[in-house]
Amino acid sequence: MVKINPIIEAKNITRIYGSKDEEICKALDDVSFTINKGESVAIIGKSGSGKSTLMHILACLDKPTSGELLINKIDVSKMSEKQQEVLRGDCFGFVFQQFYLNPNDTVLENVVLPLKISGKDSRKNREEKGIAILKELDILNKKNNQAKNLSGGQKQRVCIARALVGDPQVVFADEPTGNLDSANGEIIEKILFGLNKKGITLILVTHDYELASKCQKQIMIKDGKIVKKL
Amino acid sequence: MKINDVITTANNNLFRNKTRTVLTTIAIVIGSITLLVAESVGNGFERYVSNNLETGSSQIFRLTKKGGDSYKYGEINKYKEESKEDVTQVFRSSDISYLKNTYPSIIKDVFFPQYLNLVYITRNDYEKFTGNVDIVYPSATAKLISGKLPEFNQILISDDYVQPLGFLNSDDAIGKVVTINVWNNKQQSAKEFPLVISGVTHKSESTYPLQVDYQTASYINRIVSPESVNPQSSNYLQIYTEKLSPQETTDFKEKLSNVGIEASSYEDDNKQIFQIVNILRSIMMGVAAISLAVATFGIVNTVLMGILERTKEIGLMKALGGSKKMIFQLFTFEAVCIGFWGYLISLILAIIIGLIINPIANSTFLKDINDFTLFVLTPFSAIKIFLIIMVVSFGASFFPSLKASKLNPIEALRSE
Repeated sequence: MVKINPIIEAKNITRIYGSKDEEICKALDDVSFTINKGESVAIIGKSGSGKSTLMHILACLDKPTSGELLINKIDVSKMSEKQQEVLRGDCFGFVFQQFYLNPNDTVLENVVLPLKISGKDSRKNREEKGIAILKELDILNKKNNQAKNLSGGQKQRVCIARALVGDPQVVFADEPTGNLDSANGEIIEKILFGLNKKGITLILVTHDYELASKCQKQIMIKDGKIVKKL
Repeated sequence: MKINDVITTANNNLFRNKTRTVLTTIAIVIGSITLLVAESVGNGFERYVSNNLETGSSQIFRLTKKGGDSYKYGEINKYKEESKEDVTQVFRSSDISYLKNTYPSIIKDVFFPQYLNLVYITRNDYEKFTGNVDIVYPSATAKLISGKLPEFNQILISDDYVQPLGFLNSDDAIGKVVTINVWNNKQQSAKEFPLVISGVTHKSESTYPLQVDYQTASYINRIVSPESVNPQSSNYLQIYTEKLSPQETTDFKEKLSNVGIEASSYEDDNKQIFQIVNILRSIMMGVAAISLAVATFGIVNTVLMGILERTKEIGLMKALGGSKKMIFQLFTFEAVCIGFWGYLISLILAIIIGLIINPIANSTFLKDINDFTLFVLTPFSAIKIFLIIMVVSFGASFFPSLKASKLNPIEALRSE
């Protein structure tokens, strides 16, 4: 029996770009759903459907125009900027389609960046944690390479290592396999679902139905509205 | 982010675009080296002037009568035949009693200027040496190596006399008796006076190497040339006053001015000379400020370019929990780091310049001026300019960094 424990609750979330008077684009229109702790959830939609906007709002990188977002039952809109920063740093991990690694830094430096930002660990502790996670992802041999010298699959593994190094509760993955060939894509999928099995909540944004079908829950977005919840 | 991580990261970021960093650093080096040179040369002048100024005192005033020959050192005045008009323009003994009686609470003493016509100075069986004697006034601010200002029957000697008169060092001379031999006008012969050494000064360009207090001078003159102590008339008088506040000084000068007497203290003279030094220094600092302003734009440009190049990185750091403060610090510290390295390089260069230029200057255009170090870099100046550079670097990066800190993480990540 899986313990039902909502970690993210979205209530009537609407996101409008442009000013209130002059609506340019309604990216999200009255979206509501719940994500429980330990679930794997896919947000599916075509390009421009609003799926990335939704992920940004869930990750507290963007603010909804209206509606409520509860994370661990706390209303995000009532959190201070500082608290949101801490939430992003301590509870969330991010995996990006474009990796966003600092090309001239080493793999290890890239991986420990979140720890450096949060400022809790000493340099030595940071490196220990980084090495442990690189070992787990089987890419430790590249730790002193510059990030720009890695292949796409390696880069994405480094990106995942960076997402995991802060021991997050939720990992957001935005098209994690989008820039990879199918062989590498499969490896990354395995890693991500493996994490989910260890209890990390996985929120996957994708337009790939096959990948989405491997998640426990699918939220399908079209023109800013949820068309299907599974 | 911890502050030490911010500093190391900011400093490491400087190496990302080495060419740009080097160019900006050069701009700062030029700016701060101009400041350091201007300051050091200014220090050199100031030190020279203050070491060589007459021992100034705010309690000694020189009085002249309005319309009379005002005394200015080195000035040439037209010779005037004694006439009835001139009588009002010179001081007589009656003026002394007038001043003493009118301002008993201000004036301690009034006297005609004293000179001593020294023949030689000696001690026991040592050789005889020539020299000039100045009169030192109470409350003067002399630069002493040891001892104190002379009182009655005492003498202050410059360090030049220490060894010739057989003393081990400056301290050894204090309290010892020397003999001065003064020309006696009356008897057309020299007369000896024993005096006790009260202190030793540095040799200086503008003060005589021997100094006695005015009472000693009056005492000696009363014996050797009574007419100089109480002359028929004199173009100027000196008064020794109580310690006056600036306001009291102004009031006193005004009162004297109302009865046709102009008064100026030795301190006034010093002020004028320092004013010139300060004007000179300000001009040099102005030039330095311009070159520093140019460097400032270099920093602004570097930080702006850095932000533009690293917009994505800023977005990433913000997404990963980085705060506004952290982003702001990263870029301001980067500018401060450039400033720091630029300053450090220019400080080293300035020290080298000083080591090279001082001996050259002293053997060429400053050859005939004793005791003048052209380039004096004091720790105070070095610290002052360091702080200026730090503040300027921080200030230059302030607004670009503030802008960077306010970037929206999503937009920043999407930027190309």
